[in-house]
Amino acid sequence: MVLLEVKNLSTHFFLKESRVRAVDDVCFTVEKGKILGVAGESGCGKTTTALSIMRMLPPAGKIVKGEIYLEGIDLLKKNKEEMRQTKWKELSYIFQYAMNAFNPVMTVGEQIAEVIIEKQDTNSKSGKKEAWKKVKESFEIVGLDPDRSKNYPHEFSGGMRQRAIIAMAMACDPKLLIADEPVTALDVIVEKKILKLLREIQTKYDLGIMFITHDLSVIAESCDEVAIMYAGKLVEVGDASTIFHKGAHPYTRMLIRSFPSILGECKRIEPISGIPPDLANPPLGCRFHPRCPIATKECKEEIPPFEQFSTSRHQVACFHAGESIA
Amino acid sequence: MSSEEESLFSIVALKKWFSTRTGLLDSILGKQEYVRAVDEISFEIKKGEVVCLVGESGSGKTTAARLILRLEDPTSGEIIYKGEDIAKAKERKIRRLRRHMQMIFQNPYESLDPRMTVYDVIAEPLQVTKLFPKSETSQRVGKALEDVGLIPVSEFSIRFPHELSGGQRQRVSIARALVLDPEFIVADEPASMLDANTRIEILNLLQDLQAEYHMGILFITHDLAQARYLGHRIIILYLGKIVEKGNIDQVIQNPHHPYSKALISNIPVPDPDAKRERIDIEGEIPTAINLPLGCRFAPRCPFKFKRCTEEEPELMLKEGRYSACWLD
Ligand SMILES: Nc1ncnc2c1ncn2[C@@H]1O[C@H](COP(=O)(O)OP(=O)(O)OP(=O)(O)O)[C@@H](O)[C@H]1O
Ligand SMILES: Nc1ncnc2c1ncn2[C@@H]1O[C@H](COP(=O)(O)OP(=O)(O)OP(=O)(O)O)[C@@H](O)[C@H]1O
Ligand SMILES: [Mg+2]
Ligand SMILES: [Mg+2]
Repeated sequence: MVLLEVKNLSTHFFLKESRVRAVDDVCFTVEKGKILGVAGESGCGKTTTALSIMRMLPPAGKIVKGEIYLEGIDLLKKNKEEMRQTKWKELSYIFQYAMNAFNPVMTVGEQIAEVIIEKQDTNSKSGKKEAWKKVKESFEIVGLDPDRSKNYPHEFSGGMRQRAIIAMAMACDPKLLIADEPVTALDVIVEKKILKLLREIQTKYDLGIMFITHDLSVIAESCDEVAIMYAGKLVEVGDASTIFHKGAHPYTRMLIRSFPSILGECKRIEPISGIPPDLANPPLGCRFHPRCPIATKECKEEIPPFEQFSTSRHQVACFHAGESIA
Repeated sequence: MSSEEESLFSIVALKKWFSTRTGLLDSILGKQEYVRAVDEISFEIKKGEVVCLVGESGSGKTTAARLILRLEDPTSGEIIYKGEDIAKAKERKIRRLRRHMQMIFQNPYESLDPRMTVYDVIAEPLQVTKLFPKSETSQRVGKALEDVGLIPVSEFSIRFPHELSGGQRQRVSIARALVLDPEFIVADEPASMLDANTRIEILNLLQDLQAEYHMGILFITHDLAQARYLGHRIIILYLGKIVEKGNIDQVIQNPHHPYSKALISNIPVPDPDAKRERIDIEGEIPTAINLPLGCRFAPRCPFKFKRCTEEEPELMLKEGRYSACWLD
């Protein structure tokens, strides 16, 4: 069942001299009870996509086109107050670098309770009590000892802080959780535990999760479906196995190849030549064509449509989808 | 790598304990606690060899590297550099030796002075050390820039750090390290903050330069996949102690120590269908202050037995590599 549907979303940043096309005509869905991994190089528009869904863009950022449906209701048509309600009750967002955002002079529990009170919109005494109850419950959900909610952030390790952040995100029973690079600064063993935790929560609460990371190995370990972004565009979407084994877009395949692995032969990896384009002046046609080994005239002139490829859940934007890249 | 290769560094029982700040009462009572950041580690780095130092955050990797470069004074132990112990060498001597040793840091966004041009950043070590005649400065800077692929040199020379991408900044740090023709480089997570494509560019660059100039590299990372890609030998640290060391492929394919096993089995791989056995370990790495009796890893070890909590295991040679575990 589709939980979130993003249709032709374009979000641009309007700067003094230029317009940065950070997200351009992006379409994807997040299913209930599934994890969608969103990957791509730094600056390709992952965070901007998340902020657009949350309607939390910085002032220069504007959604110029598109629709965003949560259970069939367009979030972009909601007024401020309606959106506030949705944001607190149905969506939850773990922002990039969140675990470093704790206030050092307040206990972890106090900070989470504060968020819950804000979400519930009651500052009454019973509201506060209720919030603390939720803090303790959500600590249990993420495998933290509820008594530790009285600790200060510096008394927590990185992994515990990230768990606390997830506890906070879970405190209001969201339907959709957007997690932006939730494991990026963590050690492998802690990382693994957090990924396992997200999977457990997702199964238990039938949650939809949009998982943003630049690390494809992490996506391979934890996601049901994968969306690959390049320079503000979605280039390929499919289930994890399809993307990793039968990826059809040259960028997808080249990106997967650029991860060293501890399995298989240890061969030299050749990086993708060149750099991602300046999004204030993206190239005409396919945005990947200047770096693509199989680009043709067509690719330089026309924007490839985002179309169904092998199966109904596999979509690719490439005139040469599936062709060998040598 | 032939085993007769000349030794660059021989590290013997190197130790660094930091004293932790204690309160007034503790001071009056004469109580003192130590973080045993590096606790009697021994290993060798040969000329032209890449040795990887791997372990969780807080295991002592950076401290070990800083000790070897004598940016930090060891509590005890020997640092034998080309046959001579420099563990207690005086500052003047160290300064002279340090020309042959350079360090590349993790964060390309913080390690460069924002007010200096790329040219100035790279020329600075030449000016400070006066190791080469002044007339060679521009030629040497140019060569270093070329070596790291910042071409055209004339264009990159005049840029400021904020005008460069993360990968380009990291190239500048490498050029700065290379300009003195070092024999030895410490690279502390040089590619971990970069995205996949830039990361591979930097690893390839280090690999090429290492092969061309036959440098010794101590490569610090928590990512075993990067270690395997670049390294010849691996040292796995846990709470300041070496738990396993040996040839990198051997260790990754068949780890002996339970901690190495856990670390390796938890590394994510870019394949959702890979079937791998996982070893779960409890909790997270504690701080190296109140260490348990016996093996430091025992509290988290799924295979521990009585002896592990009574006696600390030493590194023992088995099947061509060392590991410190009573199970072996
Ligand atoms: N406030 C802003 N003003 C102008 N441009 C912006 C702003 N925020 C982001 N951008 C630009 O929008 C593009 C997409 O940025 P975004 O942060 O969404 O990327 P990302 O994929 O999340 O990258 P990362 O992996 O580094 O977090 C980039 O080119 C970025 O420079
Ligand atoms: N100057 C210092 N004073 C006191 N303790 C220190 C000092 N430097 C490091 N430590 C402690 O020594 C231990 C080892 O730290 P070190 O920075 O070497 O770890 P690391 O393996 O490099 O970790 P990371 O992967 O996070 O960089 C840690 O417990 C750290 O807190
Ligand atoms: Mg981002
Ligand atoms: Mg370190």
